[in-house]
Amino acid sequence: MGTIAPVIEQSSHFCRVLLAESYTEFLKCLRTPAFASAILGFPVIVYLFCGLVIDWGETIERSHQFWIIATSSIGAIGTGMFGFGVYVANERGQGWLLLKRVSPMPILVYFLAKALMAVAFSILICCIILAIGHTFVSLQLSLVQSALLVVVVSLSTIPYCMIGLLCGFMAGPNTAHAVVNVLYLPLLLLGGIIIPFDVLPKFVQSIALFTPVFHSSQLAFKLIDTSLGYPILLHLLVLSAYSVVCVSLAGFFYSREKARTFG
Amino acid sequence: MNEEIVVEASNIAKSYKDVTALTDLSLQVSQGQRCVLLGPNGAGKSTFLNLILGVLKVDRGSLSVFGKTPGHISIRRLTGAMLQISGIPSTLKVQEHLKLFRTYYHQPLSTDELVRIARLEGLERRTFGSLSGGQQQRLNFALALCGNPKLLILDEPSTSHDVEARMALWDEVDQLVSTERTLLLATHNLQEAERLGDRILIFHDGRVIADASPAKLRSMIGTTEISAQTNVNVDVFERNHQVKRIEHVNNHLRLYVSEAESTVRQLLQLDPNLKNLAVKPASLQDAYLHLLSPARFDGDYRASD
Repeated sequence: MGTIAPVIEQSSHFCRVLLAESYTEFLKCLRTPAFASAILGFPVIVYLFCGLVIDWGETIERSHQFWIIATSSIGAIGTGMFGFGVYVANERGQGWLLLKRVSPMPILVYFLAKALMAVAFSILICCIILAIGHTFVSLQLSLVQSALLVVVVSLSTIPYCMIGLLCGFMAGPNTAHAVVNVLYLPLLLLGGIIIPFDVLPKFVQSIALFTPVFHSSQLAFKLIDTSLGYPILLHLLVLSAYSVVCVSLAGFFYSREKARTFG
Repeated sequence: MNEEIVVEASNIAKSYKDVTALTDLSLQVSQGQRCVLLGPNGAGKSTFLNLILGVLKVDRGSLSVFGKTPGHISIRRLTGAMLQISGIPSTLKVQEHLKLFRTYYHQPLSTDELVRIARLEGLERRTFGSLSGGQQQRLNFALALCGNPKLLILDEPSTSHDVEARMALWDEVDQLVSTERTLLLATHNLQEAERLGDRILIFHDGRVIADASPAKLRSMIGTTEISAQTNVNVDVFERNHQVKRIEHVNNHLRLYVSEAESTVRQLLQLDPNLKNLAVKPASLQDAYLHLLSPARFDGDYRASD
């Protein structure tokens, strides 16, 4: 009993700090106009325009479903890469991360809170898009499909957080945003969520197979039976591999950098 | 009296690639001491503080804080740091920042107390971005105090403060640093050093070139400064053992002496028509400039006994 009490105390303290840090993180981003408008607004606007305004001339139901899933995925990619990676890079450059490191806050909490914030924003974006879909068109996704989409989108945010983190630590505080910008659009184009995969030229398709966007979007497209039929396990393995490799490299760059500069 | 050693450095060295930041530094800081780190930019002050905070690791030698390796969680709970940082999240309110930082500690100071000590009354609902530079520094100071630290590390705390706010901050730090609490303060403000420090460490090229009380440092260059406008030949003062240091630039003569009266008489005899004669106690600034003067390192003038 005597040995369990400190562990329980430590765990409850960890959870309290994580809760406070995550809540503050969410508030901070919600109140940042650049974040709220760009990260939240962009996928919603794309959905309104591509999903509702444009008549693609195909089966109208399939078109709505495609754009709901595609734009929710765009939301997850944006919050992960910009909301997590670029923000960490900025705060590191401004010394905020250093102040956290010298405080007794477990540094893991800092990154977990940011990841939770990114997941929360991905869910928020997905819910807004679903709500718009429900309101303005007779939605073709059942409640179960909608709920599963939220789950898939929230989980697929994590690899993008790790990619953003790697960009942030590899490129440095001042250039992280530019690097993520350079990666962001090609990833969307290659992944088959702005331009459907079967429309892409063959050689681009072969490149797309190696992108995380292809695998996270394929997981989501399975919900409406429009995936290419690869096994779920393969998608999960590729996304996990991306996460592990990126976080390991980010850790390497972080430990190399923190020993000599901004912390 | 059994004084607890808070910081113990033994022959520590730190380099950044080819640049040596600290060389063979050994010192102890005891509980309740108020140590002020002075020195030009790049002298090693920030490196020393970052080593104590556990942000950097020593290349050689040993360093302990409260008897443990720097950066250990138990040390971080006992330490409060006010760093020179440019980016506290601007969209969060003062009370939100305080609330968050208080959760990091098991026994934090109350929000009311933090607001009172850092003079943030009326600003609790303002966002960080809407505060003036001095107010932002005060929040930074409050964050350092959240855990009621035993070791307070302040890196240029009064930058951006107006005169009144600076005085108030000094009063607060003065009251906070008691026999229980230890202060490590890095500053370029010699008035601040004199006001808050009972031990001055002057860093130069990665070494501590002086480690003494402000009074002792002042006495190193003589206790009194005599200045006047005169064309007198200063060679005569070279033979006056009470004269510790001579500066003579154009017509302006400055003598640092251990006993003023006889030297003033001598000066007036040599040049009865001198102008703007002034006699005042030597300041810490005089001592600081004296210690960092290139001439001292050339061994080219009469320094302290």
